[in-house]
Order: sequence, then structure tokens, then C-alpha cells
Amino acid sequence: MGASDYAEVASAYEAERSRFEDLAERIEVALERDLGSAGVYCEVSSRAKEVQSFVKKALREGYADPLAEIGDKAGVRVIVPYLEDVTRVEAVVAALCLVDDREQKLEALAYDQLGYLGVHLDLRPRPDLLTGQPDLGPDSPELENLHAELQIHSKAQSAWAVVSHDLLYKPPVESPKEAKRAITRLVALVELFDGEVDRLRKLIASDPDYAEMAVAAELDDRLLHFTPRSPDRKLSLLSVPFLVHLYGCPPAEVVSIHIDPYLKANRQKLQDIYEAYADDETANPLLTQPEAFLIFERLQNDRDQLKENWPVDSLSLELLEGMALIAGIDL
Amino acid sequence: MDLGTFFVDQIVVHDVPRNNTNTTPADIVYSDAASPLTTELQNFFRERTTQSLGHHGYLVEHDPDQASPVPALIEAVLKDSEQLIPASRDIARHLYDSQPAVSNPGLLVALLGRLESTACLGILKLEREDAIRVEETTLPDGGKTFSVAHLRDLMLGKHTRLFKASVFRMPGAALDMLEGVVSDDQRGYNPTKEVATFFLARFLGARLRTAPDVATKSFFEATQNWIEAEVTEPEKKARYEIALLGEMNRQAHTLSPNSFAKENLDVEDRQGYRNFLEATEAPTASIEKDLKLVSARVKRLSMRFVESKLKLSGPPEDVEKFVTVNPTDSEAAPVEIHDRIDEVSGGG
Repeated sequence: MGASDYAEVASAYEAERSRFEDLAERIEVALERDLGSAGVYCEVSSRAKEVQSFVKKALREGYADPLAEIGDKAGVRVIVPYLEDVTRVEAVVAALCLVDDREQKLEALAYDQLGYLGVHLDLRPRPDLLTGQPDLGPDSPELENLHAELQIHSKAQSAWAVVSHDLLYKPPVESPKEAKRAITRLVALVELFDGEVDRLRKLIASDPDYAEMAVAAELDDRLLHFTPRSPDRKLSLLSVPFLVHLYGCPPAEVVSIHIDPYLKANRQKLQDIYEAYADDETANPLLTQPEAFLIFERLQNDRDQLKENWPVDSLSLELLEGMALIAGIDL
Repeated sequence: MDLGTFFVDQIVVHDVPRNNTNTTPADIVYSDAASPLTTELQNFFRERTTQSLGHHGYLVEHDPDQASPVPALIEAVLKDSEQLIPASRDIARHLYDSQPAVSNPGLLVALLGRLESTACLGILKLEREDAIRVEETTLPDGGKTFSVAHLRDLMLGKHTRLFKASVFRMPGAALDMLEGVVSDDQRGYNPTKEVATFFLARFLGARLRTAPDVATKSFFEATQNWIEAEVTEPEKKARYEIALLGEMNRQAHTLSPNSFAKENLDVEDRQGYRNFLEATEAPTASIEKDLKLVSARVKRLSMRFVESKLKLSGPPEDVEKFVTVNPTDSEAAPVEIHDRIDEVSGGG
């Protein structure tokens, strides 16, 4: 192989690179949108493989047809805080792309081996991803048969992958065996870290009110758009579990299915209400609680069940009646 | 009209005496400026007004047949908020002129605010109330007691019932677009009109948006349609039919779909019922009951038996087809039902 090989491979890839760039970016934007809607908080990034990097891989690893055989020309990376989010990411990915191959790196390691962790997916975009979605850009049916590689890492896995790559492959000299071993054994800490985090999350989530109070935490983010006042978590405990049960759906779905549409339809009204009561020291204390949105939504859509089931032993009915007055609803 | 979007920005109060031979318009005490307001007071007026209007408010519109100057004064304020003081003075004067001698003296309160993000004007008539105030007092010897004072000039408490309220807005430029909600907490015993005629017509120059007979028919038919379409259990169906007939035949002159739902329907059915009324554009606010257009159907649908107190009800056409009512002097049974029993259920 010589200079002409370099030029030929580089030229062939350069002609195609923008398509891979488009594909990677389209998947990135779609994932950010859909993972956000699914409540998965993560970092998504993408890139098309650099020409120099592509040529290096093509020539040094001896690919017969590098353009067809090299799989990571379009690359997307998702970094999640917790390992348990990986399956949620995969579910969202599967709705957008066809998954031709899945590689769980841990499964490839023997029980006495340590090494690179994470999940790699070989993807092709579904036709729906390429057309009729103006928020992702103009229709691009020509990208249909291109492949992209998606990497999913926990934050700890990602940190190790970056550091090990820098220390093992980038130095101009061969890393000493001792350094290689030290870097490799660090991955054990990654496994331990993710495992402990997973265990602690399960422990916290075992609180009987956890799922319901998680709804309050989710609503607290939305409350901040209307009032800067800090809610009283103890007050929330008195009503949130009962309010969430009124919906009859899994707590994790209450906000996305019921509250967000309500907030979208009533944003101006709520802004006016919170503005009117901002300096009112006599205002109903529930107004500045995250559960206010659950109460307002139920007042609008099923006030009778709300009143019938109101926990009068712990919260005066007058508080509910006061919220109904604020919302202009005759209870 | 979403009363949850009603907000109060300014208030003007005028003191209107009883209109009788002992008073003249000169006895009206006019404000020259808007009353100073705290946020708490703004919200208090907001909530008390929406409470009254939400509970038994009637949708109204401008009545061009009335000579009242109030609609034009409302229009003036809505087009130019600077007119609030002079226009509300004229409104107070017209209240004095139009109210009958038996009407109690009171305060005319004009509220300039917003309803569904557009300017609105509220007009309230309040009567002074009295109450006892008790304050802890320290005696000269250091002992404690309570001083008791009789306050005679209170105007609006959380449970005030001496209260007429209205809120108007103009979705279009022309005066005939004026629309609003009116309520009257100050009803006498067994009133013939829910909102005193003088207040709605002579004073406000307004009329009910839908004629009572049309609104009553609309409520009756929509409720029947809902029972027919949405209630599947036969026992419940019968119970609701009877409740509807009971509502129509009650002595009360008003009809509130919301109260009907609360008093007669199972909790799980109420919201669906309200949604149905809204979707079919049947009345959801209070209406004045007028059976003119449904009286025949209401009577034919319901039968109550003398001794057993049993009640028979059903769709008019079914009653006509399957039930025979014999004259009391005939030898036949007074009532015959020509059908087979489908289902029998016990109590409990």
C-alpha cells in the first residue's frame, strides 16, 4: 500500500462522510428528544469518523472494502447516570432504529477477566426516523441503509473508557506493564461503583411512598416555573400518595400522561394565578406545593373523586375547597 | 367562562342608601378614587366573587330592551380604564334609582380586572353586616378579660350571603357582545326569580343568555340522553331517571346541573355527566327552571303510588306501550304492566 491507496481510501470516504454525519446527528437529536420525553436523563453525543482516523483503520487493519466493513463511521454515544437506565435507552433506540447487532461487553469477558464495559449496538434507521419529522430536519430517505454504531455507557464506564484510551493508546511510548495492569484493575472499581449505586437506589426505592413521592419530585421541577417558594416535603407526604393513587395508573406515568398535558393547556391561567398570589401571605399553603398541580388537574377532570377521597383526617377539607376557589371551580 | 381566570386589579366602593322618601340621590356617598388594595384583599374579592358566581351564577347578555345605562357604562370602562371612577359613580346612582324601596341599603363595588386575559368589570352589591369582635384585654390589676365590641360596618366576610355579584366582559367591539355572569345570594323565601328582576334587568340592563324554557328543555334532554347512552346498569338507569324526574318536579325555581350531579349521581359518574353536558352544549351553569317545553313528557314519565309510595318511571314511549292505567272506578287493576320480568334484585 502506498500514497495512492491513502488518497483513494480518503477520497472514497470523504465523498460519503457527510451522509454519515447527517445520520449520526439525526439519531442524536431524535434520541435527545425521545429520551427526554421518557424521563431518561442522559448525555447524547455524535460524530462522523474523521477521515484520517478512517484511513488509518482501513489501511492498518487491512480491510478489503473499508467503506462497507468499518462499522463506526457514524457514531452515537449515550451516557446514563445509572446502569438500570441502559435498558430504557435501548427501548427508545429500538423504536427509532433497527438493531442488527448487540454486544454487551461484559458478557464477552471471562469471569476472571477485566476490561472495557458498556453496550454497543449496530443500527440502521427506521424509515419513520428519516421522513415526516420536521424537528429532525428535512426528509432524508437516502440514509436508510447506512449503519451507525451506538455506545451506551454508565458515567463510571465512560470515565474509565476515556482515561484508559488516553493512557493506554495515546502515549508516544509503550505504557509499562505495571501501568497497563493498574489501569485495567481500575475497571473493577467501575463495576463495584455501578453495582453499589444500583443497590443503594433499590434500597431507597423500597420506601413504601417512594414511587408516589417521586412524582412530587418530578412536579417540583415544573413548580419552579411558577413560583420560587420552596415546598414543604412533610406537607407533600400528607397528600401526594393519596393523590397519585387517584389516577389508577403507574406513578411513573402520572406526570407525562396527566399533568404535562394539563400544564400545557393551562399555562397562562396558572401563571396568572401564581402571579396574583405571589405576595399573598394568606394564600392556601397547598398552592406552593408540587401537589398543587395534581389537585388542580383532578379538580378540572374528576373533582368528585378528589373530594370524596380527600384525606380529611390529615388535611382539612377547607384546604381543598380553597384550592377549588383559586381554580374557579365550584366544588 | 372560566372563572379561574378572573383577577381583580382595582376596586371602587360607593355607599348607596335605601331609596325611599327619607333619602335623595344626594345621600349617596361617592368615592373619588379607587380603594387602596393589598394583594390579600385583591384575592379575597376575587375568591368571594368567583365563589358566588361559580356556585349559582347565570350566564347573561346585554338586553337592548332595557333602558339601563349600565351596559354603556361597562363598555366605557372596558374600553378606557380611566373611566372606572366616573362610570362607577353613575352605576351607583342608577342602582339607587332602580332599586325598590324594600331593597336594603348597601355598597356598590366596581371591580376592574381580567377574565380569560381580557378586561372585565365586576359589579357587586353588598350589604353591611354586623359581628362581634372579642379582644383579650389586661385589667389594671394585671388580670385578663375579653373586651367585646359590636362591629356594624363589615361588608364582606367569608360566609357573607348578603351579596349580589356580576362580572361582564366584551369579546367584541359592539355593545350587543356584552356578556357576563350574575348571581344573587340575597334571595328571599321561595323567590319566583333567582336573580332579582330589578338587579338583572332594570339595574344591569341584562337578560339570561338562554330563555329558561329552552335551557330547561336542553338540560332535561341532555340528561336523558346521557342516562340512555352512558349508564348501562338497569338499576342505576332507573334511579337516575327517577332522580331527573324528581329534579324537574321539585318546587325550586332554579336548576343547577352541578348540584343535580352532586346530589343524585354516583361519584364515578359525575364528571362524565358534566363532560357530556359540555360536549352537547347543554347548560352547565345554573338555569331558571321553566317546564313549558317539557311538562307533558315529565308528567307522563313519572308515576308515584299512593300507599306503597312505589314509583314507576320510564321513557314516555315505553310507558305508553307497556303500561295501562285504568280508571279508579273500573274493576280492573289500577295499573297494569304488560311485560315479563327480566331481573329481580334484592336490597343491600
